[in-house]
Amino acid sequence: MRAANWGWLIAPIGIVATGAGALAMLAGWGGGATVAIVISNLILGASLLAVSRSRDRRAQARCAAEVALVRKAVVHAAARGREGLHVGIAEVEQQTGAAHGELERLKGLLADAVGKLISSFTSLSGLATRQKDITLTMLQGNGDAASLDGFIQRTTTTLQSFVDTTTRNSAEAAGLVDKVQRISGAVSAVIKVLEEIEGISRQTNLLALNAAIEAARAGETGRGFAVVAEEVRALSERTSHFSQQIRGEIGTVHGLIRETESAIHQLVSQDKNVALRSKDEFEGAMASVRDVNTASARRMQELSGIVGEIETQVGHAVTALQFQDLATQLIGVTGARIDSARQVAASAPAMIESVVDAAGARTGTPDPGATSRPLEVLNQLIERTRAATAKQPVAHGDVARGEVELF
Amino acid sequence: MAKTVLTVDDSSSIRQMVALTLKGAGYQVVEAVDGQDGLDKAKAAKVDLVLTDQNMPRMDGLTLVKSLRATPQYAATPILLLTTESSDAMKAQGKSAGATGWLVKPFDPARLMDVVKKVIG
Repeated sequence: MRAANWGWLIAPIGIVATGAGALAMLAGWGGGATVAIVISNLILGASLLAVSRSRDRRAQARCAAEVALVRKAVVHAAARGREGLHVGIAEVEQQTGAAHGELERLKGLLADAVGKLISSFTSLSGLATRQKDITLTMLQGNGDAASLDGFIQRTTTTLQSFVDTTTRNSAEAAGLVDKVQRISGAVSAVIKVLEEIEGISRQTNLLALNAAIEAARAGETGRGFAVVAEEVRALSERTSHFSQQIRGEIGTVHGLIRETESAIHQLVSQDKNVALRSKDEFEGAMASVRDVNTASARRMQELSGIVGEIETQVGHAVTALQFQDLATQLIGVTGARIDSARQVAASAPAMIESVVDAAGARTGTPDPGATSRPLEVLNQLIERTRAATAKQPVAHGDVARGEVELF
Repeated sequence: MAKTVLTVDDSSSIRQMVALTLKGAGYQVVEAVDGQDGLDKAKAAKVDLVLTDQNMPRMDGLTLVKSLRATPQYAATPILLLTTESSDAMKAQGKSAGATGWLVKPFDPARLMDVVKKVIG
């Protein structure tokens, strides 16, 4: 009867031990699981044995001896399991410690690499800003370029005014030539008048000569008339002389007028041609300057666009480089998970000891409640672990930009 | 006179990136390594905007917001949370604590600039 009660009592403990074995298996503890399952099998076997023999009072003594053997085997198995667990736990401590160290090194490497990248991008951003300033200055220079256009316009206007003036001067000079030609015609008319005067002078001279002849025929009576005739002849000669002098001077004037007319003709022609040719050349040169200026402005605009693109790309890099912060936080969570797993593993020996105590393998008195406290501790530990790692600090699975919300 | 922005984050790279973004636009940037450091620096010299992370050692972002709001000179100063946290519950806590807005990392420099200009000009 006593053996039967004891058997029914330890049967649940064997089931609990089986559960502990399964838990240890879940926690990744192969050694712990094996020990727990061995214990549970032994306990269950013992309980079944006790129950089956309880009806046989004659076999009670033999049963007690076998239970003692089982108890001894349980204590022995627990001791071996404990040793195995301690070895396993020491290994876990070593591995998790190493993992922690490696995670810290990873964080350090990330921080170092990203720090240098940020430094490089900071420099790049500064250079882009300088380039932008220079480009803006050059574009403002092209605002001087706008003023260059104004300069070209003003110069073209001035040159046009010059050409117009020259053309007008040429037209006026053409009028001058006409006047000179009219002067030349007037001079020719004067020469014709001189010829008339010379004819009159010749006739006067001839009349004076005839008068002198008639005066000589009249003798003493015509003496006075002869004096008059001589004076008339002298006047005629003086007239002829002055007329030739005037003809000479007028001829000189006439020649000078023709030279002037020719010079004016040549001047007019040269001025107009040079002005028109200069204007054409200037317009060509200015068109080239304008083209160069336009191309320069377009290049500046393109350069400005490239600088803007560099800034955009630096912005993208800055966004992407924040992976280091995200990765560091994930590493922190991973470290916490490793710590939790280590603590769960460290609780396994206590569980084994509680199973041994529950079986009464050491004291000879079964204690079904012995597993309650380690299980409670384990559950609390698991709850704390899950609570600590349930909070996911990194919401994103990538490095795309996060949302913005203003309250 | 350039406006001053206090960036509070335990990640030096984030502080550097915020500084890179804001200094390029002409703002002065003061850096703090956690909430307590941020509170000390904010009290030492008035800043125009606080940009703070949430999860930091010694003092977290929400506590910093509450502490600053309890300080008269920061009763109306814009305070933005810049964090990887993005749950509605956390945002509600931020709003309740007195935060001006919530920016989820990683931040886009151009958008950060837009928000900063919007809140402090």
